[in-house]
Amino acid sequence: MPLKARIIIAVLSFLLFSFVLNLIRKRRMGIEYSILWLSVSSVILITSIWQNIGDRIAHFIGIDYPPALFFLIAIFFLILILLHFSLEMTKLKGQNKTLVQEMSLLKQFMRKTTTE
Amino acid sequence: MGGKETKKRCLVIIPAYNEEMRIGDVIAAARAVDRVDEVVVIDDCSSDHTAEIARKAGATVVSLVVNLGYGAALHTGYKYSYDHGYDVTVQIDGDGQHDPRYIQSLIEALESKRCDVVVGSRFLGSMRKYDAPLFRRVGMRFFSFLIYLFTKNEITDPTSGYQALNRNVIELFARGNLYPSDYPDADVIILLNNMGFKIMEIPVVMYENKTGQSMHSGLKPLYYVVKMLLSIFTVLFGKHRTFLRRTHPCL
Repeated sequence: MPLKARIIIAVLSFLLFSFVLNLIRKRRMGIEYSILWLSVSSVILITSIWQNIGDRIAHFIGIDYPPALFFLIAIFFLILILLHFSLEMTKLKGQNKTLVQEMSLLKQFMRKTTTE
Repeated sequence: MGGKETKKRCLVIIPAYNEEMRIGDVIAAARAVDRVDEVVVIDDCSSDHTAEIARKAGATVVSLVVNLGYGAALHTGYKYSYDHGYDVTVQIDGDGQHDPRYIQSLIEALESKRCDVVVGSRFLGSMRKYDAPLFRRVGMRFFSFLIYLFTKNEITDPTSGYQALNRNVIELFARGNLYPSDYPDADVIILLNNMGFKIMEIPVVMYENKTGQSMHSGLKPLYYVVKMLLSIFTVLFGKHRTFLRRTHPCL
């Protein structure tokens, strides 16, 4: 793979990695959400720095055009991250529903007791 | 429950969203039914005067602070019923489609036939023909067929929101998270049947929705059918059995 492309990919993935680390340090991102982001950036970082490992993996799994390996890695992790969001959204929606229901019932109860 | 010969307490749940024109009549008719002890309206965050009119008509009103949808509103009613210890719960739509005179028949059927759920069907018996669009009729037939396939129970009107439920079913839904948020249908019937609850139908009269605004328009029917098939899949192969054994050791 061309050196120039590898350097650019390495710099970008390093920036992403340190950005996410900084976000969890400042507690702006929950650790449970950072893990997948840190994984994808570190895998891409290692693949781009390590001499020829990218070409060898690409060749091993039958990809003729080695830079496409980065797309494969990125898309794979992005799908995982999106899936994770769907799970979290489902959980939040359920919790939100229960909260609204219980709160509305409580409000009704309060109204009843204050008007009696 | 049971054992004692005390009179069973009956609650009527009316989920309502912007029904100020019709809710008053439905409540008055429901309250006039002999066996009904309380009528509770679950106001699904209406933007009109549904809540005030319902209160004036003598109903208890639980106003959801956020619009949650039909199923979640009903679910709230089940929680109310469970918290207040009702033995029988009847659910009826607030849009005037269901004739409240059948509340009594639903309650009586639930008690005399010793079943857990009684569904009011618009297709059973010699009732007036209910005219629905072709796609809708085909869909209903299809889901009735699926229910028969998986439960060997003939339910002609699985979409009917006019039902009576006993305390065991109410407890199951009130305490768990099994009840769907949007439109409960064949999935709920198959779920209950597979858990050993007894379901039967009696004929009721239903009127067409006067405003004509149906929940099924545009691409929604397709979404609805796919969603319902997936929901039936989760009911048939889901993990709720183990969940239930934890929360309901008796089942």
